[in-house]
Amino acid sequence: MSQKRKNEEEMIDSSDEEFVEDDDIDLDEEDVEIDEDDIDDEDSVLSFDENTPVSGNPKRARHNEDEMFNTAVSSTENDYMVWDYKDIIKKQQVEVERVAEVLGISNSSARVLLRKFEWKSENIMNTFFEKELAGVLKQANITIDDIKMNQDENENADDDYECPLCLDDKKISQTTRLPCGHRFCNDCWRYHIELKIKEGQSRVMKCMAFKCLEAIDESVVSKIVTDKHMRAMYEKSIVESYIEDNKNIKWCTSTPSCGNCVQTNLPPSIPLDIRCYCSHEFCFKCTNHPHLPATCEMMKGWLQKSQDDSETANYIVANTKECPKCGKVTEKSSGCNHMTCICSYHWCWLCNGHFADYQHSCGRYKTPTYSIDHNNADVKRDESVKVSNARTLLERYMHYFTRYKVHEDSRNKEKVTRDAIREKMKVMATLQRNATFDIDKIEESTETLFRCRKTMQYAYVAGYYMFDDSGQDLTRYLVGVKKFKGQQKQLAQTIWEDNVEQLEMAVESLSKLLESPVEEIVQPDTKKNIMGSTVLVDKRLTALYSILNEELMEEGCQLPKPRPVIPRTLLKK
Amino acid sequence: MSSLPRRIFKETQKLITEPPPGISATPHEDNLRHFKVIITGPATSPYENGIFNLELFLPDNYPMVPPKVRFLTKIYHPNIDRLGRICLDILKDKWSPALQIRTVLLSIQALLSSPNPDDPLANDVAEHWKKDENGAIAKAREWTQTHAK
Ligand SMILES: [Zn+2]
Ligand SMILES: [Zn+2]
Ligand SMILES: [Zn+2]
Ligand SMILES: [Zn+2]
Ligand SMILES: [Zn+2]
Ligand SMILES: [Zn+2]
Repeated sequence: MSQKRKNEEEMIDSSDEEFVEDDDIDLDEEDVEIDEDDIDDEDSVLSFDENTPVSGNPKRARHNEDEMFNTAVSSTENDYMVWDYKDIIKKQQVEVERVAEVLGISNSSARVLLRKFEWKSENIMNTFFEKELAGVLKQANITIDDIKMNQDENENADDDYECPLCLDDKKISQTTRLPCGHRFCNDCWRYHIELKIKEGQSRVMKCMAFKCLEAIDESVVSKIVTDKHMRAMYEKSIVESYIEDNKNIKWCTSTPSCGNCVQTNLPPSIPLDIRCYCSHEFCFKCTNHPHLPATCEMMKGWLQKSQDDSETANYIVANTKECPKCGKVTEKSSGCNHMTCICSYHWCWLCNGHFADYQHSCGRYKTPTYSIDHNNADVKRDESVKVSNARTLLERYMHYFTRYKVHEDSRNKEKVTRDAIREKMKVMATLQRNATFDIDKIEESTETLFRCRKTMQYAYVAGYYMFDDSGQDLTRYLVGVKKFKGQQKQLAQTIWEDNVEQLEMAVESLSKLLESPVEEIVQPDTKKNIMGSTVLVDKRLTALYSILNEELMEEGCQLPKPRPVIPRTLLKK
Repeated sequence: MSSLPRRIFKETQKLITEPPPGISATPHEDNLRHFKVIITGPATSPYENGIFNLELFLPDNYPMVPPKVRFLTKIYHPNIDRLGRICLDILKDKWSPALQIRTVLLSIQALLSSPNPDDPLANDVAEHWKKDENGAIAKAREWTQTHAK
């Protein structure tokens, strides 16, 4: 880790402490409870480790060799990194030079090896230390002839040399020799290389000698080719081939393209929420919108299904509902699902239940029991079972879909709320000391809220697929999910739903708090509550992902990272 | 490329002073990149005693790109089509600037000695060659006598 980065993190850490001390937040106070035991379900056999390291923000790549060395081998610190165009060229060159140096081969040979190993330099290194160069070559299926040792020549730059191509007399200094031993004059090289670049063949440029397979290294190209336009074309093709070869790197999928690349430090088969520095978000595995904790396969099925069933879905997802107590039509105009009617009745948008003290919850699905006409049971039994099965299927789907949709709508509405808050706080910043600091804190809270809303939204997709008990064949959507049977499945479901429920309650109370008028938000008490609520929500989120990671998914599931926020007040100092 | 004519000049000079056996190549007086080529059919091939006329042209980018060569004399060969175009890897993707006119012509001569019907340019001829090699060879000999005089 670079010193600079470390400092930034320390700054952020200390800022948190500073804030807590300044405002003296007591997390056990009243309605904002942060109780460790609260999260751990007493009945649960499945458990999670509270200390699971939560890795940091996506890391801005730096032009620092040490760091590149580290990032190439370590994969625990950050789940992914964002590189810009120049970064990626440097990064690639550093990898080549490192492999060349350790193995004692030419840069161009190292490049050939890296391509064969899909740019997994750590694999090359490990093989090399275990089985030496011969082992590396064997694994890459390259014969010793293809890899020439990097030898230094003692030739005098002033010696005369007849270029075997143009047959002109040149000085050695006007010629270039590749590691294969073939030497030609720079004019011939330039002509050859520029021709290949123009033809779009620069990825596989070979030595000019007949049947020689030696690749022309980038260092040769940059020495020989001076034309700016040519160099740019060459660099572009090199970056493209690097990204094509390297399964851990993808272009950001923004349109128009921002030109950044994203590198995952996890196996590329794991879905991972990416947020590029251009602020575009996508899933690394399927490149669609991020959808954790649902998997790519679940999402595919889900979107297809919601398209097929859209009419029914639209009906249910209408924006108005009647108050369960007085019957007045109430419009859901904010993100919060805690509705307050003008008759002062508090009720839940999702289930129409009474909302008391923020403790209401209804996130788990209960299979309804239908009364079958027992008198005619023998005759009509089959018929009614069929009808009720279809009804159960649809109701079950609608249960999950409604919640999915509601959280999506809330996200959109909360964005509007956030922008309103931000605007007002900017105005207040001119009136109040410390206000900038408050804006940062509130931004962090809304950011957390968005992350949790997104998680909630897709948690219902995951729940729909993971805990289906209707007997439909959903196997193709369950790629990467652990197989549970009978009791085990019920237990997993209970734990999952407990956690979803806990998160949902925490999210709704944070949402409610953030909807307070700005004048109220800046009051120490409200501020304190918001901060406490944010911490709680964060904890719940981490807990939910721990469950997924350790108990439900085969390959694990990574907690989506918050957008890196560096407090502006600290930057000013 | 200003330095290239020197290579062409040297290659031409050597082709005239030390011609490879059975091959002659002479540049046209008005265009030094355009060669009149004569290859004598190799002994123990169906093209034996035939005199084959070819034209060879050195594009501006030569030797970075291969020369263009084609048979002017009609020839019955699985790797040479009716227009006299030749199917030879070094004239395409296997070209290297280190190769010369000389090596190209020697390769064409070798192709006459050992036709390769598995990598054909003239499909009907190649079919004939694979189904009835003796018949195809007889036809190649017949064509040589009729056209390559
Ligand atoms: Zn070479
Ligand atoms: Zn030269
Ligand atoms: Zn981007
Ligand atoms: Zn995905
Ligand atoms: Zn009411
Ligand atoms: Zn409810």
